[in-house]
Amino acid sequence: MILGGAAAAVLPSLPLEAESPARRPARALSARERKDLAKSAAQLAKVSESVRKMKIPMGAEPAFVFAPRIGKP
Amino acid sequence: MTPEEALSKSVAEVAPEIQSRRLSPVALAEASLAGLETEGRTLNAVATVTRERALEDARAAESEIAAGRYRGPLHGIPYGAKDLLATKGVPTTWGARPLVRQVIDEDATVIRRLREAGAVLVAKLAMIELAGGLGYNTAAASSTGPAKNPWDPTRWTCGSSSGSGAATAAGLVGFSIGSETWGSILCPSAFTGVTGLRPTYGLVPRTGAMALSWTMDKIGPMARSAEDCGLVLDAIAGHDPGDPSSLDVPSPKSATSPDARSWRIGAIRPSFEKFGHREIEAAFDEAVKTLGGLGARVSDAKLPDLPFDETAILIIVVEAAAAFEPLITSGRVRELNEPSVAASAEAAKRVSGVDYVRAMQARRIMQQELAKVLESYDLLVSPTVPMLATKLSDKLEAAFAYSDPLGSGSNLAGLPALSAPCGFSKSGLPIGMQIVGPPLSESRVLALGRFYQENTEWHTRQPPIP
Repeated sequence: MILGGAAAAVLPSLPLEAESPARRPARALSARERKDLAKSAAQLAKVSESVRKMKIPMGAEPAFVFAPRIGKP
Repeated sequence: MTPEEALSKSVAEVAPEIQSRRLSPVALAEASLAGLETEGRTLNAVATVTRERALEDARAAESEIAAGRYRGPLHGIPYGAKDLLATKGVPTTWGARPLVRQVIDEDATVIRRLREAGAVLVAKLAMIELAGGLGYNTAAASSTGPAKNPWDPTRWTCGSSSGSGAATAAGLVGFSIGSETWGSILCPSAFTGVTGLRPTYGLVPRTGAMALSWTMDKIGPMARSAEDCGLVLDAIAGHDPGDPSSLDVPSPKSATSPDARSWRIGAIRPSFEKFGHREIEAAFDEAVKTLGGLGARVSDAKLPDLPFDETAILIIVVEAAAAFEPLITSGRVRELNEPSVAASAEAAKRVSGVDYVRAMQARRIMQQELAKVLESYDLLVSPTVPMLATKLSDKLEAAFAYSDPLGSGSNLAGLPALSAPCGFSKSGLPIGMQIVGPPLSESRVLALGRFYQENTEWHTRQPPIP
């Protein structure tokens, strides 16, 4: 899987320090990684925006499938 | 037929030789192992050669066949499995440097079923690290290095089933097993000139396979013909209670008559003005003409204008970030070859739950819309990828910067697809055509593939001997 598309020109300021320890990576991101993160985050924001723009009726069933386990495990 | 000759033939051609004892499974395994140890290593196609297990299984096959207990067309055939399928006593590295010593002490269901069918596992095959689930930008994103294309070793095989494509194309194995979340069977099949089948989501159980995206991962065969893909599918498909997503339905049988003359085929043509190689457009046009000439009713088809690629990206990155959470939080993602993975994984974790669920709502609508398209056609055909095999040094983000609505949409909807060779470029690189059908239409997809291959010879071509 390859993420395509151009990154946003403006790199957003990301609140890494404000995150809980559980969500923090084991080692702080390097300057290069922070730049990559900003690029990836901008790409994903753009991608999310495209999906948000799609007309989806309120309450549309997501494509999850769950079935209760019947019988002995 | 010598063992070396047999390795360049289809399973359907070799099986009668084995059944009649004109060809020894042990000699065939030895020839396969020798090729994997030499050319396989040169091509960076191999993660682990399973010599001991292979010879043990080959000897067992030889004894059984001599005793009159022939199991079927895969009996005694050497094959390789993408290194994300667990194999007892053999490393299963997921193509990732941090996991090169990982041994999972059981066989994946697919591996077990192939053993029951008598197939001989000769190698765990190279792959893009973590099947590319956290993103990658170079062919070198693999613990075994960039997989080289047997048709031109300066070119890539595509990923993530890179070793499966290289080893099958080079005639090092009789067939291989790959996996696809989005493009990982079809693209390597097209780049390396083999025939690959991505089955309907849930048809082949994933028990014992690395999870990248629980709602999109599929396992399927890569072989020398559509007929061979069907033979392998017959052995590996079917419900397994170990995989909650596996379908409890009768397996589509491949052995149907390949008479596709009356079918309605929808041809989806990418915009080659924006991206792609004109030689691929010409080869695809010729393939469409061939199908039409054989009696199929081919007309142009269009997909609805929906954000297929974006929806697939969101679902895959979020599920991959969850699947590989321990590697991400421990910081061991930094041991991967792809330098940007730590950052892209962190970005994936920041996608909101609402956006993920919204993507899953969009996916349901897309599934319905694709079903409507497939009401007008029995099958859809399109170039598998709009470009030729990329150079090993290419930056993939730029090289693959094209819209892939049929690829993303059909994976989102869990539809089966076959990639079959449909031509070659002037420089000698393979070109693939994909055939896509409704859920559980493998018999039809394979039948069209067989029909096409019975009337063309592209799938019989072999790469030059190095």
